[in-house]
Amino acid sequence: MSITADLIRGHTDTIILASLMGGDSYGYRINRNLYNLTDGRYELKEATLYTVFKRLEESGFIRSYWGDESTGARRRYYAITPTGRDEYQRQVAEWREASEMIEKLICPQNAQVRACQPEQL
Amino acid sequence: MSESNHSEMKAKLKDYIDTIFADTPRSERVEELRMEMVQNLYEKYDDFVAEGRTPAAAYNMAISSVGDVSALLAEMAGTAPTSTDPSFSGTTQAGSTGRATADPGLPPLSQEEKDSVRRYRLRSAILTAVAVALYILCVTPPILLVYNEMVGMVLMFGMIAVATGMLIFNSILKPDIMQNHFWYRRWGKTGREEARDIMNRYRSRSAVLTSVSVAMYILCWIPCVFLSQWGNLAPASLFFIVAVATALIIFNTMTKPEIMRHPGMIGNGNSGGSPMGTEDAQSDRAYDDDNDEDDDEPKGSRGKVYKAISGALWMLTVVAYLAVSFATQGWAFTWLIFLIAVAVDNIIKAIFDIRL
Repeated sequence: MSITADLIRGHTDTIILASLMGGDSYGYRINRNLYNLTDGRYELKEATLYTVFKRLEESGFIRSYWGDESTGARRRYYAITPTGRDEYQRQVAEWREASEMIEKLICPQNAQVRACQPEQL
Repeated sequence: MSESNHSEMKAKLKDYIDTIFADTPRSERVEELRMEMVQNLYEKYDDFVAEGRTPAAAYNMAISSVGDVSALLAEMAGTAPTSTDPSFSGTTQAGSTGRATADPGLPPLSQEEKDSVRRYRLRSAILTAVAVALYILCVTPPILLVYNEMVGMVLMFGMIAVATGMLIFNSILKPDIMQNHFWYRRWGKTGREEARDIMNRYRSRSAVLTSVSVAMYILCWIPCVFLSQWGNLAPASLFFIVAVATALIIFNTMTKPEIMRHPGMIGNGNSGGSPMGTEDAQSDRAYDDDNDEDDDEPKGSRGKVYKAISGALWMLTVVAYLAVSFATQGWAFTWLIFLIAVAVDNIIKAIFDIRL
């Protein structure tokens, strides 16, 4: 599990950008989405979430604005910028390349290990 | 569960976030983050409740999901406050005057209220210092008045009664505003330059007072030697000197300026952008104990080194007490070693707090 967590941690920026590709959202809803998408196996700590927001906003990949909810407190929404979309594309391509390489390195053809056989999972 | 129960839990959530933010100087960005975190925690709490959790469980789960934001806050405090989003005007900062507004949710203290806090602080420092001095001195009447034990005892209990009365009187006089744990957040901001002036003034006074009292502790045995032919005047003089020195240290600690106890009070004045100012604010953040306002010991800043020294000191004291007592057979007087050890321990504490 710790390896999984470490692996995911390296991609939090991409994950946040990905959740904003489908439209503007706010902190809690983004995190809730991650939780639902992973069937409750993954969720960011709020500290991490806001740190990522700050970093992405400073890099110009996302921007934030305050919602105009008529009732109750206002939410802070985040939107992906055009540069953010480009960055997202780049990071996805990078991930594809990396995951393909890792797959080949971890499960070489001659490994003959059950864990490496996709149909056995 | 009742609606009031939920609003109570939400107030607790807000308090929790406020506590996390208590040490961070307020800027627009920090304030925005605080509001964002509170709002998201509320929604998380509502969802947990909707899933059927009890208010207490929902509260605990929401709190435990926050994680460690100290690095993020430190990063935000280190950068000069800049408005990233001009469309947001929920809070404004009166940076140009060197005085910014306090927490937007709380009205800043009026001058009158500030004066009452200052008056209380000073009075409290004097009363406590004198009371402790009286406690220490209360053994002197029986020592001096050996020929009239009754009067000696009456005087001793009289001094104890007066000292206790002073402490009780003092705690009752505490202003209403200070009953609230976070009262200091209503103080309003003090500009960095002004804050530095206040701290420097305190530090130099503190250095003088501490060195005088340390000198008194170290030299307190001298009158004893010279007054030895006067009989009981000798130990009495020792108690007197220790009492005065302790009173000085207590007075000094208790009159520590507000901004050194609660660095969140330091605002981003005109000089806020200078690296010197930033450094100051960071080093002073360690002073903040975030305990109740009358708890004057910043435990966090003293830390392990003090504990180690203090532990060694008490071991040495016990060893010295036994060694000297057996060697001289002067059991009637050797217990004074413990009194001296208390004094030395206090000096070490003071040195750690003031960082001479």
